Amino acid sequence: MEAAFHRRFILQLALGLIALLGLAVLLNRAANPYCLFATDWLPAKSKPETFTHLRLVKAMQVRHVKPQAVILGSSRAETGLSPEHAGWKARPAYNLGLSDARLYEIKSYFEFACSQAQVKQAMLLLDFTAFLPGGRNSPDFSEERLQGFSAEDYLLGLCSWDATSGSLNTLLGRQGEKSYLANGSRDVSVENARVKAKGGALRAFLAYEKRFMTAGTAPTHLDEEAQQVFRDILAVARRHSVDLRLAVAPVHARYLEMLDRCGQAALFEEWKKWITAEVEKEAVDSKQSAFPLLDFSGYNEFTTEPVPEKGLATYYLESSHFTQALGDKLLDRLFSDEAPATPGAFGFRMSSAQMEAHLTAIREARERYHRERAEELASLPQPQ
Amino acid sequence: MLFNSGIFLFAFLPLAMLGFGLAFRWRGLEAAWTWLAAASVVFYGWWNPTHVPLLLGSVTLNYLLARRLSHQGAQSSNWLLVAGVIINLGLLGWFKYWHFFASNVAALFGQEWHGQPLELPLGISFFTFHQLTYLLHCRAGKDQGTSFRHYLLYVTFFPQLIAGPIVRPHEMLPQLKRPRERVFPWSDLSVGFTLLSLGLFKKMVVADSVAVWVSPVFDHVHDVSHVAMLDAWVAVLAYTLQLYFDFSGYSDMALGLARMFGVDLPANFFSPYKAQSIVDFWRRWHITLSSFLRDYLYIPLGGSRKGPLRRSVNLVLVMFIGGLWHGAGWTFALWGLWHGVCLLINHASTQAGLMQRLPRLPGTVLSWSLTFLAVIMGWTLFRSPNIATAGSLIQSLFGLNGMQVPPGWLEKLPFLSKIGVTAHADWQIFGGPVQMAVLAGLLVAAVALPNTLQITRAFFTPPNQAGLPEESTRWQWMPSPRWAVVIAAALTLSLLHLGRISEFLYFQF
Repeated sequence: MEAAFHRRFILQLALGLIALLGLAVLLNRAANPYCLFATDWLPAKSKPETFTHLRLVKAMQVRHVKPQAVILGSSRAETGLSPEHAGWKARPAYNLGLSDARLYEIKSYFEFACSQAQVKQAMLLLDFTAFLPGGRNSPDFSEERLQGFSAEDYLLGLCSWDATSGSLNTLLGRQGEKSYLANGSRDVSVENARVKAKGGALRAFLAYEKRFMTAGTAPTHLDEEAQQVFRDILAVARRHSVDLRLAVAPVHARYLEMLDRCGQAALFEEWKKWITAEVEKEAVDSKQSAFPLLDFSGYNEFTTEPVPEKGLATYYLESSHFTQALGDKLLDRLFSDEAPATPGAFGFRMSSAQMEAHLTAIREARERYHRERAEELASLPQPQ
Repeated sequence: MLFNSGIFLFAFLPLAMLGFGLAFRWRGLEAAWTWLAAASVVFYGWWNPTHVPLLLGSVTLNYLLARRLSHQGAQSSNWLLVAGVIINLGLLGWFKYWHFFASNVAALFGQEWHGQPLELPLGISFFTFHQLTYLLHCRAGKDQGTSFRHYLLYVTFFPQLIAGPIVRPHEMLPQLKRPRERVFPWSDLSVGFTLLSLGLFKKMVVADSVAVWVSPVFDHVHDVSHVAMLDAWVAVLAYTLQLYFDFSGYSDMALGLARMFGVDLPANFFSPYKAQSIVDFWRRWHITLSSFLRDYLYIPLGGSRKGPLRRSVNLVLVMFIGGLWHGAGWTFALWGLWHGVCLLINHASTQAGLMQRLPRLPGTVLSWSLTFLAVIMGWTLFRSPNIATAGSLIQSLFGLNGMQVPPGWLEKLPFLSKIGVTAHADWQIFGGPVQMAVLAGLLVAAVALPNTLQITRAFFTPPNQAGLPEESTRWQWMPSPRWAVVIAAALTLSLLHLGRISEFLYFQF
């Protein structure tokens, strides 16, 4: 008799388990928190889990959207560059920037996008720090995912506690750590709200700069692996006939000061010379015109924007991340047919022939910036 | 292969059960035990196959020694037993303590030790103790012709091989000899799955969830000038809870898995944070280790039979060795000493009748509070990478590195400023009221709720039941639909956490 109770218990336990796991799978399919599927059964305003599963979500969105134009880079690209800009002639355009990405991850996602659709236009926002030694691929980066069907992604996306709590967050309309739009860009209003919550632009600048200055010892050379990956990115673009445009990120002048104080200013110039030479070498090797490479770093009316003590800056969230107001100007310049900018100016098209003139112009602008903003620069944190 | 991994739950366990059942049907019980021993060796080799010969060699050598001891019984020469003890402890010492010993001796003479620590064979501390108890069991003439097959399974049985419980020969070997009409009776499966599910829930849902508040503080104390007071309290309390739910969850899983194969293993935990004295704590925490140290170290040293001074020395020495058993490091040794001293204070207080003079409720509250405080101070030592870190953290706990609270608290409670509390915004892990409620809730669960042994008492009797506290509960597990829903919910939540694999804390000891 007792054995019958135990047998029935096992049966009830098994049925209960199947029912509850089935419910979890249904909920996760309905809310679709990681965009595993192109459509949501229960549409929500936003996907708050995007940031915590960024590489999964963006890979899936590339599969669904099949973009013909992509923005490549790190969080600076995600934050400041819009796929809605008129310069993107190929549509749909998608912001494939990946927060805290190594160059290898950027290359892998570029190749992945090219494998999913005929990518006609692309821009790569170049970040000096991505060329420095150290760093690892993000824990949520997966080669398997980019090479085909990843069973693990579907298992974790449909039948895991992460996904279940993510579905609840999605359906309840909770705010994620960062907020993303369907086109892959970060939601500007949420970014601005974060700056306000920190106490305004100056506090946000100082908080970022303090972190930067305590990040550890400054590298003295470029990373050879990253250099090779950069060459690979150019090769991918050439192989797929992508109209690739390269831009050195328009970091704030305070960021350049930090590089200088950390002893990286010379390496930053070396890096510009190196990427320029590589772009030119690739053009010679492929017997085609070089990919445009424009420098948006330096000292100009945008990058030297005074930092307001209260409220928001127009062009920057902090010294590294810029707003879409500046991103739009960058894209205007990148896609324009206007006369080329003069050396040192915002959006100067770099070439080895004019490199010295360009760097000299930036150094002179820096001298002026030092003279005019001595008081402001005194507040910059010192390296530790 | 961890109990909380997909490969174990969906591949190893079903295959082990299938093979066990088929072997029993086709070849009988002894063939089923052989299959189980072979599966256990595969389970062990999954981590590092190179350690399998060590395990099998150690088992074979000990079995041969044990046979000699057994044949000669109480008349056997001591040297045989001494040789066995030296071989087992020598192996443990070589792998676990040689680097620690050499580096400390070198430091004593102002030299630097350049050797690297050896890779510790998994579970060596546990299978060494298993084999020592078996040698002593045979020396006492208690063994009744155990076959090699049974001995191999006794040592390698996968539910207890890696992190215990430490099983005495008389607790397991007779169960292997008991004839059976069938394997996997429904009652074994229902009780086994219940214990396994509750253990998985404790480990995967509870312990791993609070673990995120532990490492950022304990592993990065030197990255900050000092740990803020509330960060220190969150980290220490989170670790206190993590360790309990992790290790007791593992033990529940071990008991449940063994029960599925028709073997009852001894209990290892009995709500240790309910303890109202340190003596009581050690009757509830890692019970099989405590009883091993008591029976094979404390009592042979003289126990309490040779006067109060000798008893005190014995207690502290045993706890010191118990501390070192957990790891070759001064923090573990100090943790053991700390508990030894606490036990002395406990005995002195009992003899003086201090707590008995207080009214019942305040006495109970005070006893529990002091015991819990002593335990968490011990865990601070236990978890810290070194003594300096532990010291710094303990200073932070008691406000000796300043007392800090979120700025909002000072606005609501202005008197805090007058006692030297300052505003602090840059917290490492302190997360405010929700986090505090989670920790408080888990602590209440550990202190007020019945444990798995109490809940399943009507259907599961561990071999060491007689030594467990007599505390019953109205919550009695039954093979009923209501309990099926509860266990299914616990198992569902655990399986949903499968993607987040983490090792059991006690694997390292």
